[in-house]
Amino acid sequence: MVIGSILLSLALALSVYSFFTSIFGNSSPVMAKRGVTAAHLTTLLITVASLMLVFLFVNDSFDVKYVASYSNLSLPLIYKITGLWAGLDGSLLLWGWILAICATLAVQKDGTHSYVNAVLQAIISFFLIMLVFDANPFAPLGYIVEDGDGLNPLLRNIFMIVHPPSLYIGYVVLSVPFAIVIARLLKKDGLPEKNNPLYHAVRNWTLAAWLFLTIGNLLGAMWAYVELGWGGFWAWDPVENAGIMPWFTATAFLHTLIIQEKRGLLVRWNILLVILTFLLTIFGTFITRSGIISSVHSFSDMTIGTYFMVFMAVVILFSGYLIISRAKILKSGKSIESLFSYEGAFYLNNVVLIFALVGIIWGTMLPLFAQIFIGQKIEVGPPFFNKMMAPIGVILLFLTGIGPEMSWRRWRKGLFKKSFMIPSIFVAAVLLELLLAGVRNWFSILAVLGSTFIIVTIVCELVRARKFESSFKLLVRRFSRRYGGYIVHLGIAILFIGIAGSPYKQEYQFNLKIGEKQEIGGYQILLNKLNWQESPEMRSVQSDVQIFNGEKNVSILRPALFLHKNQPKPTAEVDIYISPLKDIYLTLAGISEDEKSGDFTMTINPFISFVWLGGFVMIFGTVIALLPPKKREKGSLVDEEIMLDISLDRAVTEDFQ
Amino acid sequence: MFRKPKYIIGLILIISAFSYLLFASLRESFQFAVTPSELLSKMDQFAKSQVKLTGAVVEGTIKFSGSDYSFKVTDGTKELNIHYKGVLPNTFREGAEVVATGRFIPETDIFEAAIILTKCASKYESKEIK
Repeated sequence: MVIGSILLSLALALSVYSFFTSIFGNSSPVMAKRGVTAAHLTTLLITVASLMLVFLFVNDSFDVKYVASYSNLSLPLIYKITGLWAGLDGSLLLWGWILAICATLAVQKDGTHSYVNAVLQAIISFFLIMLVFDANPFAPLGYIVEDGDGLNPLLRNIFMIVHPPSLYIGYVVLSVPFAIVIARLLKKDGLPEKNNPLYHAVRNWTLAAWLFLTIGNLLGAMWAYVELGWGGFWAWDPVENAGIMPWFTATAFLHTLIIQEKRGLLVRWNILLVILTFLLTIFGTFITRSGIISSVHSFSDMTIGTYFMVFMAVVILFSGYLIISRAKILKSGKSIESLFSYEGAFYLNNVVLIFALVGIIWGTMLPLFAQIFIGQKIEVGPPFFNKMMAPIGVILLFLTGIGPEMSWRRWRKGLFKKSFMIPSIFVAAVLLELLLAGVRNWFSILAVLGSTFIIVTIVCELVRARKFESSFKLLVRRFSRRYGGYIVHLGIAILFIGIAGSPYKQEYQFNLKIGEKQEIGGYQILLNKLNWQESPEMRSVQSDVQIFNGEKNVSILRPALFLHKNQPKPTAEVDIYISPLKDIYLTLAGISEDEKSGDFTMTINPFISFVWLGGFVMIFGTVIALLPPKKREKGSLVDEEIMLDISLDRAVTEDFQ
Repeated sequence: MFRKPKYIIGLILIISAFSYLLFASLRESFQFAVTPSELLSKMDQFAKSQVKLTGAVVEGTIKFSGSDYSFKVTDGTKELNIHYKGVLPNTFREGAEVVATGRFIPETDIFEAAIILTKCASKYESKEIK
């Protein structure tokens, strides 16, 4: 474990060396080369250190404080490995490790400027400084213990294995586009020309990060849903908000980048978005790690919080200076001509996304502001966020349907008939259907309508574009960026159908005797029996509940309750009946004193499966959009996409000159 | 950014509409976050209005029958009786930090909680496993 600390210190020294040589690498190719070599060596050292920490976990080396705090002898192997990210120190190491790997991948590409490495090494050094001086995962325990503390049983879960690392990867990868942009600003480069390979690099790094953020947030939502008392699939907890904030700005950026790439517009705005996205990853870490805002995820450490605050201040001042001093050379001569155009719709989408971001930051930070200004903590709960985000979500949803079908530069005659008439007819039909079915919640209605609109526009466009390729598969593959994005939009539509169900969530509390049948929430519920089991630590009772819909047997659910001998409060295990249209979530809340009846809580969650399905479709679409574009004999991917727009009557060649 | 100023006016309209919404919704849904001492010392302000109470569960005070729970929480100086009916999170235990949303009823001296959340234990309390 002394070796581990030494490895980290050496990595820090090398990373700092790589930083300085890369700064001089601008004028001296020899220095640039040294910087790259040092970067690779840093990555190697951090990799060895991380693997060593994993080894210490597997080896049950409880003389290391971090290992003793998050593992014990009886812990299954897989959770020993996940010990790497079970606590703060290890998470920071994992963070630095992923970042170093990203740096290695980014700098090994020919033509990457040495400033990119300089920026990345500065961030790596920042993490290494924390690891070496304040959060050393190799720090000795100082006394001898037989066994470690182990991992919280609630965290022994498949989600623990995949959810934290995907979020970390998503966060960390966003450093690379930031480094590329800062390097360009430092070099005083002007507007990038069309087909510049940097577009490809920045987009792919951002999209890869977006993929992992989406996976991480989706898995977090699933985990919170199946775990009792974590507030359902999304509770607007500060930590959840921290995970979604960079996701919003990255989404905005991925859209306006298309406008810049094709028409050279919004250059400064895009630079701002990349920097803001990176800042939000640091800000997110700061609020989750500093404990400055109380959250149900409590892993606070004020020292680390101070580090992040200082780092954030440096990034803001430095990039602020760069943007202001380079503003003139980045001025693009052109401007958006009409709001009713492709560019206009994408611009609006950005305005709405940024507004959502401001709202989320406002709601998250309010307790802190209130404490400072009125001396009393005020919190806004999920109702605030739901109320604020509902109209934003609906507007975004309709923009998602409208934007990609708009024509470039201006509204073109006949566009409504070509692109929007059939979707509008479908929307009207669905509206009628919903009203007849008695749906009256305005959010649910609009969300379903927006989703319908998206789905039908996508189908219409695919049908029209089909004539350019021999099959749908080849069409999607040829324009993988565009249609990968469409699949993501399809996922969003499905996701929103799921969210539209949440106002119709119903909760029932009832007491049921053995053998008794009750009518609850449209179902007949029968408690068959209560099975008791006795062990030295606890008594446990598993219920056997049969659910009927009329004569039909729907399912048998077996929620259980564990009465611990050394703990005054029982713990519960829920059972969920999952079906495409509604989930039945049944909890055994308590057992009566005569042990002949039980208190149950039943929640009916309509359409919740659509949330998961939509998430998976989004992930699938992102993967498609990330596929390397097919080899082309002549012309670039961008040229072909432009040709497609022209063939679909949404532009003329002159628009892109 | 735009050639015609009418778009800027449009944007300002959109943004102000949203701002109104933001503040309107804020007025209805914010809650005071208090500790037991704060609640007891500013009774006239907090009694009977919905607040978020944060405190640690006092050892030896958890009582339940079926799914009807009563226990005390403390911030180190003052204690408060809490009543709750329903399912408690599995991380709820003696000494755990909990956030209870509900109302304090001065007549009965009991805080009637509607929602109880526990802070997610990212660190395991070692004593209980052995």
